[in-house]
Amino acid sequence: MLKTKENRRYQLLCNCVLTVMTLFMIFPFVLLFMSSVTEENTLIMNGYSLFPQKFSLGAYQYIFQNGQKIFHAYGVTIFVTAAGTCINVLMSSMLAFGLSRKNLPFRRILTFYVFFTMLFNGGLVPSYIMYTGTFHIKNTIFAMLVPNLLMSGVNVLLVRTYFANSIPDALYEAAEIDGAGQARIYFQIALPLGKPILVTTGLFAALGYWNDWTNGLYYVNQERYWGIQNLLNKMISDVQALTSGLMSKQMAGMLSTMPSVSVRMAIAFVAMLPVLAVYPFLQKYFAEGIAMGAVKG
Amino acid sequence: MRKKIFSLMLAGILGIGMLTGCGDSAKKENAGGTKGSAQAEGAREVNGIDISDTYEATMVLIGSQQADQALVMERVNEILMRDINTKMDIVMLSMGDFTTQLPLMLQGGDKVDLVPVINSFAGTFINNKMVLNLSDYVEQYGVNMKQAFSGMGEELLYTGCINDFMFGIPVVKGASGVSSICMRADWLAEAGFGREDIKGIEDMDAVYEKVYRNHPETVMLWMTKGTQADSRYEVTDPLTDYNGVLLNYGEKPEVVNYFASDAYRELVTRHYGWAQKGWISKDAATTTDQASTAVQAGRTFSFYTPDGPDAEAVNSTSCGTEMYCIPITEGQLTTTGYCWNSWGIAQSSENPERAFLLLDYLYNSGEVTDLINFGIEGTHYIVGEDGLYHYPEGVNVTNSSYTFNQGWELPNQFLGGIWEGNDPDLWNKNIEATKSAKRSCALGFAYDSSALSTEIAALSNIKNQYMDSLNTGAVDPETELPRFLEDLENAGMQSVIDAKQAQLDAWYAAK
Repeated sequence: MLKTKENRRYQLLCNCVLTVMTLFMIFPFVLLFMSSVTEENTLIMNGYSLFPQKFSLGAYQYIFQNGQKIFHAYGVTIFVTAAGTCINVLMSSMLAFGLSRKNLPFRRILTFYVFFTMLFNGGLVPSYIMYTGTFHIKNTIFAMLVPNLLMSGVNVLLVRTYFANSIPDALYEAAEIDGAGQARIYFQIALPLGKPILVTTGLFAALGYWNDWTNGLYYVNQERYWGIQNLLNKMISDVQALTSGLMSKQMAGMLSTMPSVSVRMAIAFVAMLPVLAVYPFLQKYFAEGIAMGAVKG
Repeated sequence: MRKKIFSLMLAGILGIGMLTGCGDSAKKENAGGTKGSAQAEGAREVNGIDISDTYEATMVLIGSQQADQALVMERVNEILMRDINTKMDIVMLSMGDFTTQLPLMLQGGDKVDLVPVINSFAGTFINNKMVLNLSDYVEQYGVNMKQAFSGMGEELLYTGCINDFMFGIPVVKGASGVSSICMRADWLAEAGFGREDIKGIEDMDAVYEKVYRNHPETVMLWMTKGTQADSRYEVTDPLTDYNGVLLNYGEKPEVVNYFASDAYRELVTRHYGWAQKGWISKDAATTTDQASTAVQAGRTFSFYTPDGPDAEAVNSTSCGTEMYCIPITEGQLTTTGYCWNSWGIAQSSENPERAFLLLDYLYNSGEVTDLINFGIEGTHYIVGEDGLYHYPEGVNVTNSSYTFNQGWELPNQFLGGIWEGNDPDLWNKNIEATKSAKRSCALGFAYDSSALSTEIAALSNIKNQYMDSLNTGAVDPETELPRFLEDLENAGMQSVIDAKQAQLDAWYAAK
C-alpha cells in the first residue's frame, strides 16, 4: 500500500477509533481488578476508582484462606469444562461427519432435524421435567454437563460445512478404495484435516461451559456440584435479593454473612482469569474457523 | 414423500413424549397409595389422620446448605418418626435462586411437600396450580397452628388467603411495620442529644444539623437502591404491592394512590431537602452497599430500619458500635406485613394430609425448631446460664458445621431458643408488640392480581424508574413527582386501584 498522505490519515483515524473501542472493552476489567485490590473501607468511602487511595490484598487473602468452597467450585468448573468440551467436540464432529457425506440416506431430513433445534426448543418447564423426571440428572454432575451445552446445532452445522467443503471428496473415495471403513475415514482423515474448525467449536463449547450458570441454577441445589459461576451468581443474587426490597425486612439479618464487595470482585476476577489468559493464544482459530465453516456449501 | 416422513417423525416424537408423560403421572399416583411400609403397631391416628404408613416428606427452606445437615436431620427424623411416623428431608434453596428454582420444582412435578410462599408470588403460585388450597385442612386438622396463633389473635392465621384460596399458613411472628431510625449512640451523645429527644422524624433535622457539623465528611442518612422509603417508613397498608394503599395504617377501607398522597409528598420533599444539604449521599439511588458496612467504615450516622424488640441488638452487632433504634412510626398489622412468608403445600405432594400433619406438628415443636435452626445441643450450640444459645468453646460462625439460624422462616420460632446478643424475653415482647399494634381494617385481605398482570408489570417498571431517585432525594419532587404520577396513571394505576377497591368491598361485605 502506498504511503500517501491520505492513506496515513485514514490509518490514523482507524487507529483512533479502534483505540477508543479497545479502551471501552478493557476499562471494566481494569476497574474490576482495581476494586478487588482496594481496601474494603476505602471502597465504601470513596466508591470504585482506578486509582484507589489504599491498596489491600485482603480479598485475595480471604479467598485463599477460607476458600475451600471457592476452590471446590473451581475444580468443578474445570472438570465440567474439560469433560464437556471433549464430549461436545467428539459428538458434534461425528454427527457432522455423517451429515457431510453425500451418500447418507435421509441426509436432508436429518440436517433439517439438527437445524430445527436451533430455532425451537421445548422451553424451560418441559426441559426441566424431561431432565429431572426422565433422565434423573438433578443434583448429579450430569446436570452441569448435559443440558443445553452438550451439543449445539450451530456447531454441528459449522463442522458439517467444513467437512463438506474443505475436504475433497476424492480423498474419501481414495480411502474407500484402499479399504478404509467409515470409522477409519472419520478418525484418520476427517478429524486431522478438520482441526481448525474443531478447535473453533471446541472453544465455543469450552467458553459455554466455563461461563454457564443456568444449569446449576435450574438443576442443582447442592453446593458441591456448583461451578465457580454459580457460586458467584449466588453471592450476587443473594445480595440483590436482599437489597431489592422483594425480600424486605425479614432477611436483614442475613446480610452480615455476605461476603464484602471487594471479595466479590476478587472472585469475579479469579473466575475470568483462565479465560483471559488462554484467549489471546486461541483467538486466531476463532476468526479463521468461523469464516471457513460458515461458507455455505 | 419427504414431507410425509418428516411429519411421521414429528408425530412419533410427540407420541413418545406423551407416553413418557402419562407413564410418569400414573406411576406417581400409584406411589402415593403404596408408599412406605406398614407400621408394626397397626393403625395409628393423629388429629384424625391415619398415620399407620411412614410418610416421607420434603420441605424446602431458604438458606444455605449446612455441613452437618444429614446429622441434624437424623435427630429430627427420630422425633418425627416417634410422634407422627414421618420422615422429613430438607432441600435448601439459596435466597437468590429460590424464586427461579421453586416454581420450576413445583411445575416440574418434583417431590416436594412443604414450600415457603412469599406473598408477592402467591397469585402466580395459585394460578399455575403450584400450591393447594389449605382452607379445609386448617379447619379439619389445624390443631396446633390455631393454638399457636391464639395468643396474638386467631385472625392472623388466616392472612394467607386470596379469594378464599388459602395458599399458606403464615409463620408465627410479631407485628411488623414499626419503622425506626437507627443511629450511632456515640455521635448522638457528642452532639448533645439523648434518645428521649427524638419523638418523631420531625426532630431529626435538629439532630442531623449538629451531627453534620461535627462530621462534615460523612452522610447523615444512609439510603440504598431499593430501600423504598415506604418499606422502611410504613404508615400505610400497602395491600401487597403499594399499587393502591389504605392510608393511616389502614384506618378505613378506601383504596387510594399512595404516591399521590400527602404522606408520600411530605416524605420525598423532606428527603430532597436533606439531600440538598448533603445529609443523604449523592449516589444513594444507585448504591447497594449496606448501611451496616457504611457505619463500620465511619461513613454514615444513621439509617432507616424495621424495628422489632431485637432491632438494637441486631444492628449494634452488625455495625460494630452501639446503635439506638428510635421508632418513628407506630406498629401496624397488615396482611402484607404479617403474611410476608407463609407455608404452603405443593400441588405435587403425594399425600397432602400427611404433609399438613407435619406442618401442623412443626407449629408446636420447639425441639424440631431448635434442631433445624441451631443444630444439635452440645455439638452445634450450648444453652448459657442466661437461657440464650451460644456456640460451644472453640466454635464460631466461620468454622461451625451447622449455623442455619433463620428462625424467621420456620413455622413457629417462638417455641425455639434465642441466640446470644438478643433479649432473652424476645418472644414475649414480640407478642406484646403484636397485641398493641394498629390493625389495618383490611387485615386478612389479599387481592387477586392475576387479571392485572400487564398493569402491574408496567407499574413496577415505572416505579423502578422513579422511586429510587425520588426516595433518596436525588431529584426535586416539585418537577419529578408530577411526572411520576402521570406515568403511573398512564400505566393503569387507576384500574388497579378500582379492582382492588372492588375486591376489598366484596371481602368486607362477606366478613
